[in-house]
Amino acid sequence: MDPSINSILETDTLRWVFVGGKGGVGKTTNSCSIALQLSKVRGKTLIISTDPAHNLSDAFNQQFGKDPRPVEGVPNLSAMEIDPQATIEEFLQREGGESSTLRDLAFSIPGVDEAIAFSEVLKRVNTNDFDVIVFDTAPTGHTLRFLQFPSIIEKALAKIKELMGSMGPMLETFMGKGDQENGIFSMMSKLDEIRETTLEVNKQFRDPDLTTFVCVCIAEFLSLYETERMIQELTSFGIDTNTIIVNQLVLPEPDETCKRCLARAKLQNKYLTQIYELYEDFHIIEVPLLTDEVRGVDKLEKFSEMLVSGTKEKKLISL
Amino acid sequence: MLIAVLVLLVLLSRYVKSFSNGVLTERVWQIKTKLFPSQEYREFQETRDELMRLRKERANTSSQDNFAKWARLDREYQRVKKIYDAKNNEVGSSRQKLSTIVRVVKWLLSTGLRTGTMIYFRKEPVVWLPHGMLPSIGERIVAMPSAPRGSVSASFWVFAVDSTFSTCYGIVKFLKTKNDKK
Repeated sequence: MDPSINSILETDTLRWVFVGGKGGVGKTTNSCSIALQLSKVRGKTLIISTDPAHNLSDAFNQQFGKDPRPVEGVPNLSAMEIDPQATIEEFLQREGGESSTLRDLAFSIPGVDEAIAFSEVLKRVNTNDFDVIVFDTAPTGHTLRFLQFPSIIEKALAKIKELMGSMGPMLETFMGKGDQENGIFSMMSKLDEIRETTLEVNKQFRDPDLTTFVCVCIAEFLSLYETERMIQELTSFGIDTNTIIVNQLVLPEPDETCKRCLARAKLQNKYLTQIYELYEDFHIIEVPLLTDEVRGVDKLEKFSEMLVSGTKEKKLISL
Repeated sequence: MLIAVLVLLVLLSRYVKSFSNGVLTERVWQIKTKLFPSQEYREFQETRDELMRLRKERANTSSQDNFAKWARLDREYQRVKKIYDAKNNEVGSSRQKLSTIVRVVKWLLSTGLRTGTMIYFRKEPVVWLPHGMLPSIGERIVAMPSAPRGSVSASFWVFAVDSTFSTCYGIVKFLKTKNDKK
């Protein structure tokens, strides 16, 4: 398979590109690079970070907030950082009103917080403004919960509805019927709204023409193990994934004498072989370990070229 | 004749009742699956063996040295595990059905049969008492509900035999524990 992200760049129906992997493997650098390249061929591109430890601002050397802001020096590319927790608090303040019982009830459903955060993002971002949206996701576990929530909320809402059917009048009695704004029914209809958004999104996520997931890993056992788990889970959700970026490969010069580098390279080579063997139908992109931090548009630009050209020639580029 | 039948009946009933439902179901299940294994059960066994084999093979494969092979085995394991869980559920529900049948049969053989016999022979005298052995009220009680006066009814006979066995059993048990303690 072609060792580059070209298949992603060429699929012009793609709307959602997720970039995920264990913490510290270079998700942000890679997602920014992918976004950068997409903005060149696909038109208006948005990159969203859902990692509470936001790195977009650092990567681009520019402050971003919870609303899309154009990236300086890159036409067509905008970026935003969302903090799921803050988004929820905001939602609660706006929608929750006074009734804390209702809040507790609604928020005891697992995954509902993420669902709300996500639907808030979608509300804020008029998705029609962008041709393609890249997600720089939080480390593995979070990502998967994020992707799973439509089905979680679907189940939860069905349960609540069932409960409401049999206990509605009673609940009303002890929680207060409430007015149009605060009552339990208005809460229900809000949840229902969220559900509908998420359902639609979920449908899009499962469509390989619209959505793809890029796994970033390093050639080490744990990273590989996590990647395999992630790929299995994504497959079980029906989310398309066929690109693996193997980052931070040590590429020794021919006359290299550094023992540690050589040992590292040997070890990485072992896992790299395993990756090729296991994921034979994936686009596997090898990215070398660099001597500089990849920060700023210029460096990202150079870095992103490696993803496009493929790095088979294995040369250390200097940024 | 009836007198002996009723004694046997009480014995049978006590014997059947002495097995717990769980043990009985387990034995019947074992016999049934050994003699007439259903398609479902055979498939379950095959899946289980396959799962064990995969687990063993996965355990014998180094995930660090041979990750690709390990991961393939793990995928296969997860796949078979899903099938296994489903089949396990099916088999479990078959077992549940069997357990219900066992409970019903057990009841029929003990309480059901005993009660049925008592009702069927309610008018038959089991044994005649010598005239005047019991006061009139006593004669009425032992003939309950509808055996001829002066005789012992099937119900009363069953009750008497059952109480005797129960008492004897209690005494034997008591002596045994006392002996064991010594």
